[in-house]
Amino acid sequence: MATSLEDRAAPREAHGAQREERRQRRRRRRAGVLFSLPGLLLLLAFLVTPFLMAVGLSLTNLRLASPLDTRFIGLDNYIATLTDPSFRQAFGNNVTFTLVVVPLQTGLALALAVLVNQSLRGIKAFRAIYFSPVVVVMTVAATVWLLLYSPDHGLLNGVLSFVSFGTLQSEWLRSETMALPSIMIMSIWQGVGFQMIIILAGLQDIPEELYEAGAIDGASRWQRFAYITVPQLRNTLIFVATVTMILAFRLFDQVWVMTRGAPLGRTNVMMLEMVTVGFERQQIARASAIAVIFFLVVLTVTIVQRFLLKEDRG
Amino acid sequence: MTDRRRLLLLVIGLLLGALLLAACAEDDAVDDEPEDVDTDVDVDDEPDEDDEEAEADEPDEVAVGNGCTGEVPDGAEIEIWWHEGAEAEVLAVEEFVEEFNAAQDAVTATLTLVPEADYAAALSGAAASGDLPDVVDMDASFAFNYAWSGDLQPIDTCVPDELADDLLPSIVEQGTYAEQLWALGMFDSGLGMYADASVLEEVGVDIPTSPEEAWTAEEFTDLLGALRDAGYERPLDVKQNYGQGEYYSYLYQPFLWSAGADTLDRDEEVAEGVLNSPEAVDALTIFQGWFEEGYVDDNTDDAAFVEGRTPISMVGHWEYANYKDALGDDLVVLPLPDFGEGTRSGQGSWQWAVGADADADAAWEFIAFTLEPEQMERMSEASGAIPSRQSVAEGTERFGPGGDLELFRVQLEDGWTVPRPPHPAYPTISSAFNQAIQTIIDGGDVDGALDTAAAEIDADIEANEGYPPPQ
Repeated sequence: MATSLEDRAAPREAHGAQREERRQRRRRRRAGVLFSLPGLLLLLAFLVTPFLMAVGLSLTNLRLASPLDTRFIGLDNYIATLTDPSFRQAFGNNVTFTLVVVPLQTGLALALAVLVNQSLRGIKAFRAIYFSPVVVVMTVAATVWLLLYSPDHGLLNGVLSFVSFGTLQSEWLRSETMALPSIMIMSIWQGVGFQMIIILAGLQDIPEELYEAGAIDGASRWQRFAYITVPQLRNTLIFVATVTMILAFRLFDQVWVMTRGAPLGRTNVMMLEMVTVGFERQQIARASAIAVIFFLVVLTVTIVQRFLLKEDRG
Repeated sequence: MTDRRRLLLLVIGLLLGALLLAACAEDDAVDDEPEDVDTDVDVDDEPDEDDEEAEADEPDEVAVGNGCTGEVPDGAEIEIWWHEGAEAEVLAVEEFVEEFNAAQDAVTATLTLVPEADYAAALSGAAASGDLPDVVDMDASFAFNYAWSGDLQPIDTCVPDELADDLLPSIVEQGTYAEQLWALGMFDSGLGMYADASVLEEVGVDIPTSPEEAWTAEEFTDLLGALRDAGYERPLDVKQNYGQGEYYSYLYQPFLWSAGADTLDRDEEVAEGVLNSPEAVDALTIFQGWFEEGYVDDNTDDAAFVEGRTPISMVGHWEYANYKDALGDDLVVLPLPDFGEGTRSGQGSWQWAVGADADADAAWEFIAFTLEPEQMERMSEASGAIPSRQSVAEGTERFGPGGDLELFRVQLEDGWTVPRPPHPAYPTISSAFNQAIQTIIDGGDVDGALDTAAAEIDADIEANEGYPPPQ
């Protein structure tokens, strides 16, 4: 249909440049839609559809394998989930984890990026070293840290005991107070290199003239950092904080390998809760409800964050 | 230009068409297999409509695989799944499949190995889409959920009398649900305590030689104290490195049984009042004491016992070869502590089950082949497990009279073992009990942990309308 219309339009091309321009624009827009279609289709098939299905499933009593009829049960799964002390604890742990890890990891990444942004000999080696934990698969890293954290013969307690003459010891992952911080330390170690690289790229985009101008105006190093570097990195830092926040809410691998939520649920998180409910206990519908809640939480936090920290669009 | 656009449109159209076809093909597959109707219910439909549809389908639903007829179809092909765990076992199974294919012409078997870590997920995924293979090995206690959901078929009709009489009663018991046999294995399992006899003699304790003589839980706790005094700071290994999972359920449910409690009342099918009974609380409070006192080695390096850090290791048959190498003649195998009503051990292991859509006769040809005494002996050699035929078990050096592991066979033969609840709710029972055990190990409230677990199990059974048995 569209093509035949166009064929008819072809002989009338001479009717003025304005008309031609409009036609070109329309054609370009149509090409844009066509080019984005494959991507949109994939998004539709693998993101939107599953999510809508999760919303649908969460309103039923569907089980992983069951000969019983699947029934519509309304919001029961949501009520059961939101009143479940175990889920509430998991949610609280996620929030604590995010509140601590996002500022800490972003700050540390900034510090490291500034550190490795100097032109020294062998600086590339340092960049590689700080980046290397990112390359390690999380489950492998978690297994290694599990050994490091071992209270009886772990390296960490060994070193602590050596430097403190046996007074400083921790049960780490088995201690109710230290378990979540232990996971945080490990996660920051693993993730900080990635943020560092992004911030480093941002740093190298800052025009040298700004620093020169600052130096001429008599700004100290700290002032140059606070009034040139940080404002110039605004967009980068917002991006890094947002991504870290989403990753923090998605926390799962390290917990799965290292603690499975122990001790006493102190390291339980929403993703772990979802896997336990959905696959161990086969309550797929309730796991879907957790997934939807998880999505809404992350969406809300992201929107709030973007509202509070508006990106400069220059 | 227009040609190019036409091409793009064509490609997109084809893509959309393919998607639609795929969706339709799935629906067709479901229609072909009436017993799977419920696994693929379209949630966008009106709920009431769903109910009516499902009800209309009900008569078909119960027509699951019917077991053996005695006629092996010529040219049948069967798919076999085995969990890729211990290497020696995998090699043995691979050999069995090869030899089976060479030994007869009627049935062709192909083997798929699935990594053990993903095995449960692979099984539930396959079951959810109605694609369980013809022959599948699974931890027997999980078979009942699939039996209930209609993904397996009973195999009573396949087992010849000669074999039935020879099988360990325990292996049959662990494979039986709703009075039908669903899973049968080449070997059974055993739990006990491995100990360094020379250390036990040092602290002057009587070493039990039979299940009757098992230490009471109090005696055992005192012994742990004595061992600490003898210089072993953390004298007990319970394989903490295995972590939370079915192993917790396998190792610690025997404590409940020994105390006269259980994870589920087998007749009433409720957990409340059994799992959180005073007996259960007492038993697991003693157990918690071992952790509170710091008697338990965390075994992160999986070498607590072989390196001599702990003189006692509580674990199953599979560690024997490893431990024997390390301790030689000092190694003794003892029954688990008695929490009041005599020692108890777990039973059942990885067992064969037959998929609902399989030709049972063809599937059984292969299973029967692996249950031949010769194959069974080889498998026992590879896995270290107790052969599931009494005649084979008694004939082996380890498990026979006077053998190092005689205890494991005696426990199974003389009723010192209990099957894990043969109930379709078992995945939830195990998961809830697991979490309770972890809470107790971490020093949480024993009463509260067991109350929570019992409530979760009962809620699951209720949510599944009491798991009405298959007809």
